[in-house]
Amino acid sequence: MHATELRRPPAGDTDFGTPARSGPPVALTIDGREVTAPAGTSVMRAALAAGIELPKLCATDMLEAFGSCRVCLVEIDGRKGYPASCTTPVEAGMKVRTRSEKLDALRRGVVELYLSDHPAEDGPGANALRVLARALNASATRYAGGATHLGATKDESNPYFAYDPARCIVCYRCVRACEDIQGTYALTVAGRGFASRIAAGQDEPFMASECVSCGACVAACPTGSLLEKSVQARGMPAKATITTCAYCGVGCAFRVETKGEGDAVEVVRMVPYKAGRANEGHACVKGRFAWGYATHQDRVTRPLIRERNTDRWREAGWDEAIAFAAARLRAIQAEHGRDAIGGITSSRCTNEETYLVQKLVRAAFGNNNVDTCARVCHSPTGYGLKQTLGESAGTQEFRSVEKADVVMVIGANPTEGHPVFASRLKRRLRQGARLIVIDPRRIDLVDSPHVKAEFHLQLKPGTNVAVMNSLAHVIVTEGLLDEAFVAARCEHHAFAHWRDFVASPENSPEAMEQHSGVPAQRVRGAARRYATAGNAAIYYGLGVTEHAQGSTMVMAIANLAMATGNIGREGVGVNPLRGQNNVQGSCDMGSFPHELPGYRHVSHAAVRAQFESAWGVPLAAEPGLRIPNMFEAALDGSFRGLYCQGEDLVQSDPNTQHVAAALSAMDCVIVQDIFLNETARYAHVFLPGASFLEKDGTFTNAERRISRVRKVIEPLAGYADWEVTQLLANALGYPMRYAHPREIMAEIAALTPTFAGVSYEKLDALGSLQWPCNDAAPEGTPTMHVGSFVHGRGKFFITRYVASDERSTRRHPLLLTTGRVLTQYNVGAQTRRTENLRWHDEDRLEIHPVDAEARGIRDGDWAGIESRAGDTVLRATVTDRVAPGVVYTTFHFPESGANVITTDSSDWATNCPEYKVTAVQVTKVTQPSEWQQRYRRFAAEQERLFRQRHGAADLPAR
Amino acid sequence: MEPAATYPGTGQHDDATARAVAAAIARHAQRPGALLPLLHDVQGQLGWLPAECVAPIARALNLSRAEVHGVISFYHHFRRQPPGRHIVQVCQAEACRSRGAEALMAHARTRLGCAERERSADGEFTLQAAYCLGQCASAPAMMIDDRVHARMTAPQFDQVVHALAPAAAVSPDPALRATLSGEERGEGTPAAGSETPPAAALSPLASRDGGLARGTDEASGGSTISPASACVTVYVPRDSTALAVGADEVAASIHRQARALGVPVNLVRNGSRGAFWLEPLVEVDTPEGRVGYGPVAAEDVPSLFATGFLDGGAHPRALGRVDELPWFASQQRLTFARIGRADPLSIADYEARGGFAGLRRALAMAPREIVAEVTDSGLRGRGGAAFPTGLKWQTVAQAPGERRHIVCNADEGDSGSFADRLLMESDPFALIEGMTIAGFAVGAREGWIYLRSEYPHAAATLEAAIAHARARQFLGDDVLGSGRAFDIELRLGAGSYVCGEETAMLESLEGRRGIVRAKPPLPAVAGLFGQPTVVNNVVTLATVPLVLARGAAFHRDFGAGRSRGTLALQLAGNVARGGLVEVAFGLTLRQLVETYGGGTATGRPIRAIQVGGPLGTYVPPQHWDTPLEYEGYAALGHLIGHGSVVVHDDTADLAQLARFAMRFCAQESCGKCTPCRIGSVRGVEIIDRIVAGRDRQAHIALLRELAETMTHGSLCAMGAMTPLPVLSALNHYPEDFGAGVEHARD
Repeated sequence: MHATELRRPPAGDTDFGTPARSGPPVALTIDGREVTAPAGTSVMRAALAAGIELPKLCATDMLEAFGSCRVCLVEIDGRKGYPASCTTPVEAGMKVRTRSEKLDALRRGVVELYLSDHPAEDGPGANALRVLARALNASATRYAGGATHLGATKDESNPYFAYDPARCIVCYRCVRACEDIQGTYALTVAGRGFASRIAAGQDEPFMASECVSCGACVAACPTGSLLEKSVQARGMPAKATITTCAYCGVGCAFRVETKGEGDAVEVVRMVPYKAGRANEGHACVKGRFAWGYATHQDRVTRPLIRERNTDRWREAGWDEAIAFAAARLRAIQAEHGRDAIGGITSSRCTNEETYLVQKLVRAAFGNNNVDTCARVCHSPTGYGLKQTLGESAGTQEFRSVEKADVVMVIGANPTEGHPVFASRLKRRLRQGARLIVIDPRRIDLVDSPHVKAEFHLQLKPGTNVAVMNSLAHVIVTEGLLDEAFVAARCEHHAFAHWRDFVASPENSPEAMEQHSGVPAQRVRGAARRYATAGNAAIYYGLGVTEHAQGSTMVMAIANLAMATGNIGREGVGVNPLRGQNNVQGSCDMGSFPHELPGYRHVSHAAVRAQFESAWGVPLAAEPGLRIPNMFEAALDGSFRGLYCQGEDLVQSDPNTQHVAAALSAMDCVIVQDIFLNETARYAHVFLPGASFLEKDGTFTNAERRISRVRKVIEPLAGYADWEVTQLLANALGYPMRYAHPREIMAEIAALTPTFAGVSYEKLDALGSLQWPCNDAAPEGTPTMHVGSFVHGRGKFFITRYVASDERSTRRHPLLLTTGRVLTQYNVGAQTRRTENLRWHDEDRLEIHPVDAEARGIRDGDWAGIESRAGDTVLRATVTDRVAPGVVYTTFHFPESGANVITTDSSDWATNCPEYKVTAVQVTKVTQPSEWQQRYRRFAAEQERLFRQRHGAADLPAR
Repeated sequence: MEPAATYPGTGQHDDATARAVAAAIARHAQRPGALLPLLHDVQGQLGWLPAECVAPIARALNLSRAEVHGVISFYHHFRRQPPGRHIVQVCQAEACRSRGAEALMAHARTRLGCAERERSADGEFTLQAAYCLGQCASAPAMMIDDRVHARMTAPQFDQVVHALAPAAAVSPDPALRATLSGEERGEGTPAAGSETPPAAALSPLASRDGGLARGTDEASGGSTISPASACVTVYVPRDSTALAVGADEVAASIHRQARALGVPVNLVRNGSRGAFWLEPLVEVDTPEGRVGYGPVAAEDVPSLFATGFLDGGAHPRALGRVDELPWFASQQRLTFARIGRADPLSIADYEARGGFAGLRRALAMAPREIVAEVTDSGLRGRGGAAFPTGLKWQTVAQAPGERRHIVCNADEGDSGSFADRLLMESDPFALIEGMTIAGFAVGAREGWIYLRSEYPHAAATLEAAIAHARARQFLGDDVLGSGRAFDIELRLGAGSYVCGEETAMLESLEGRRGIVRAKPPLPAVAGLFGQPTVVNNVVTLATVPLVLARGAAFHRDFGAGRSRGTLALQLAGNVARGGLVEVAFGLTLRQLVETYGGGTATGRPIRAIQVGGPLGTYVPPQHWDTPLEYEGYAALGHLIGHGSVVVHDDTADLAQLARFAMRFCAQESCGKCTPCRIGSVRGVEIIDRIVAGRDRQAHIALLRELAETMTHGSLCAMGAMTPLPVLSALNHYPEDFGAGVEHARD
């Protein structure tokens, strides 16, 4: 078996055949050995726990026992026949035999039947059948000449995997994985008896079906009938490394399977890691398959410099590029003052790298002009949860949803944005948990196979707070509060104030209906359900934060959870679904201009003193500039240099033209990234970054889980990102001497109380850690605020609804809101460079049939979208997923210009842009917008400046 | 005629498809496990299930397209291609094989010019094999649309087909044309005459809505030709066997003749008494009791009138007093005591013959007392497994669960058996009463009857009976004013033998592919929709009223050994006097086939008898004197199963019957477990090699090994028991597997 060739098969990958159970212990005897297993455990699992491995083909501990393959039969004293060990639960005093001549003969008989309808030679991939056949000395020769499926046509429609019916043993593992693990139900067995074969959709190619390409079926297949094309092409891997996915905030653990050594290491596939607690063996199309970007030809692997951003690029050696950048930054400071430069950390980079960038800014730049891309996504979460609950983080671990009785999903689209969590959520919903969705758009969770929202509050964009206040109003006025919880755990005065506020008639569902458009009765029903169904959990996304009232809404959510006692245990809580892999971590690491690592304010002298002592420099006590302030200052001329690591400001920040103007006004823009991104087109220095496969470090996911990122291949450009920051610091005269990211983490732990117990050694031993991790919680904290809130008592805040400035007018009658799709990720820099384009190769504008008809727009027509900030053109998708008056798009393609339209409207507390509400007009057009035409010319020119760069092919990479 | 144009959904009729789907969704979407009823509804409207109906159905039921497709493709009843205007199903199961079913199918292929599962060239007919239509005592049988035809011959086949499609492009073969050229042409078909009511008008199946379902309680069966009070009551059965051998034509002829003669006749359409060899059995009420004439053909009717049959007059078909016929008199009819005596849908008749006495008694008892009564009666499941009924009920009653269910297994797929069908068609209230008692015993409010789609007549009868019972408060929220609720929903299968396996049946009832579940959990603990569920066979449940009405001891006093009560034996295949023989356990097979059966229909010696359905053994002559009871039979390696007894004469080829057993398993395997899914296909191939003389000894050894693998490795009884008929044929009739056997047909 190829798996045995792995150097160190990770312990977490043992397959026990059936899922774990937690009943009281039951003692039995298997092959003469005394075994104890929890009641409900299968004989198969109990045997393996005792070191006795039964053969299995249809059984896997990822799925409930099925009992179809009949190779795990055993003998049990006092029972007739040969029960299947996977479907037989242990019983006290049971005496089981797993080996006998008869059992061997039966197994051989079954395996011979399998082999009689199976290719004589297996290709690459899993081959459990072949292994078993060898062990049993079974062959198909006696049955030769009969009917087979050997000539059946392969389905190779999916870019990442193929289905070969000839190798299929109809064990249903793929079908069950699609149903039970992924929850999509895209697969079935068509036909019956001997004709049974796996079918996607209505027996159509996988690509034409509802398959979301999560790979669960491929991972489940025991025979390689479903197989990654990368394995077909490159052969079976020889080595596996456990790492953490670099896509969304779920933070899935993966086995990176590779072959080759040194510079010849080649990734063969990425397989979700079963022992990873965030994903428990599941994955999505991005993490599982869309990793080819890491070696895409667009990767820039040599530093680039140029005098002006309209010049041709010049390839430079690292020393030269770093010296060039350092000299420019110091020159700006010399001329315009210490505060004229700043840095931006990335939620895509590791904790250690983020920490270093903010340290660079604070210690080497000597100011607090550091911000992070979390500014434009979850900064209101940090602010709002800190104010109310006392800590800027979600309260639960993902697994907590398994205990929820009602789930409220607000402004999040988990099946697209956080698919692996969505699968967990859907499983819980199939078990009977109720679902409330608050979203302007009918997301898939509202109504998809085996999932149906009990309440969909389809509010007008920008009215979250109105709906949340009216939910609270119902809970307060109908006596659905958890008075005991509030009395014991929350600040009484603030609560009383809040109660009076939400109880006022202006916050009633009936009064708020005019703003939100949500029928009052539906709000009342949802409120009752949330408050009375048992464990109630809230999951929210950028549809909460990216609003003028984003912080208000986060606090309103926390208020509601506290008021109903849904904090501090499993199955409840307030759960922000973080967008990027390390949003939580980048915030934790002190990326905000006002906060040092661990969310401690820079004005706090004692805290500052601690860092000053450790870093050996005095630190500024005043908060620095936020990203939008940096842009404004740049246009003023007071902010002239920027070090931007791993973020594409131009594509992802609102009001693209404003951003571009600000960057153009600077003297030194240093971009560090794996691709020459949109921002790099305005840069003077480009420092090649390293992908997650090329470095060590840690990511912190949405559940505060710190997980290791492990280097699999050497950095293509020679340095990991943390090393580049270190080079720049040293060039600026501030010494950094880290030999490995573990040393950076040691410094973080020493300086940050919530990370005090974190170390690479512990991470290696335990797999992952949820902060706070310190002496009080040496193995981390899955559930926060148990018993008491972090800062003592929970604090209610008044959350008055204020209508957004972005509202429909005669000139801009529609409200544009934005989101994302499953197959593309954020600005698309990674996923656009993969086969994921096969699913989504352009951003489109969703528009309701009524609005479309009024404008003469048909499906597929070009639609011009104009806001007060700008205009762009997208093709229209006419759909009733959006309500009349609402249009929707994604922003995965730079040429779409979604952010040309979004405005400078932002959260009152954190300046998080109001991406989710932009008043627009939509018209039928025939050509790209003026901006798009300009953009194309500009992009083409920048392409040329790169393509025709002054080459120095002989420059050493390092 | 352009067949494609006659069916919607083929492109130009998308609107019709959409309408049909929307209507079916409106009718069924809110029901639990709605998918099968919904698909039946759509196919009922369109004749098939176009691919484009899948997406809206999936959406309406909160399912995926793949799930719906998986279900459609699992069930043979559901068609993904437009069929001909008429569906011709020729039974190919063992009982019909014993009477020339293969030749009939071959003839059908030639006559219609198409292969199985194909459409005739003119688009008029789709030809299909069926595996049992429940007419095993009147073989061979076929069904065209919902109309059953039994004792078929090739000329009769041509006649029926011609009547349905006289303008069919396919011309009858020359021999047939000669037959049809005379004045007989058209005889026996529903003639259009201004005075003569077409036979179909009297047929309960003439139309689902206009037939049985319309019948009212008291008058439904009666067709009083003259209101005169002195009119004689004549009984002409209307169960599907009687209809399949021309009972409607007989009834029409009696009606016609009586009118012509001005004789008042009260024509009652009763159920069958189960003496199928006498069907159509016409009975006349006389002061001396009911006298019978049979089998009566339509052309016998004038002579019946002429000989004064209304007064019990002599006639070549006269049988004398029916109750005194030894064939009946020697039986111990308990469960089947009422059948054939009255209109099956008359609650008054049912009560007059002791019906609902058991229910009334049960209503006065505590649930555990009912369970105790059934336990004490010694009643064991009559579906084949013979599990003690009281014990099962007790398990269900004690299992934790929010709701409990009673599921009646009416998926009588075993060829050779027809007891369930006969009971449902001739005494449906007995089943309803039994299920209601079961519901009260275990605390279930919901009852389900899972009936095979091959029994449309039973379906119509049950639907009507359930409606009557509901109207009279024998079902509903407040059964007989007791404050207790129980109701029954009839669900149709869709052409899957394995759905007679209880867990596959539950899957099917829940709207899924009929895939066998692994046990544990037992259905009694986690059955339908995961709740504790009683799954009992029709005969078992229909015996319960008797147990309650007459007491446990009454039932227990019948029988032998641990097999208490009576056994409903179904005498079928190549037998002179086929039908239902209910006797106490303990009769021998030889007594049965000789005394009751009267030897073979062909008059040739009996060679082999298959007992217990398609998974039962071929019992060799040396075991024919063993008393029929569960334990004794099991000791010899045989099984009684559902009690079917299929007789084959000395022309039978046991190697081919063994091959058929494997092929049937291959046809009907759900495909979940490997021994059954692949093993059955290999079984057919090996037998072919054996009979072809290829490496015979090695292949016989391999067949035996395969049988071991299937027996001990299969997930359910289907795969595990298929080796029984195969090995019994091989062991007891080895000469048929020897050299010189012709190549396998098919």
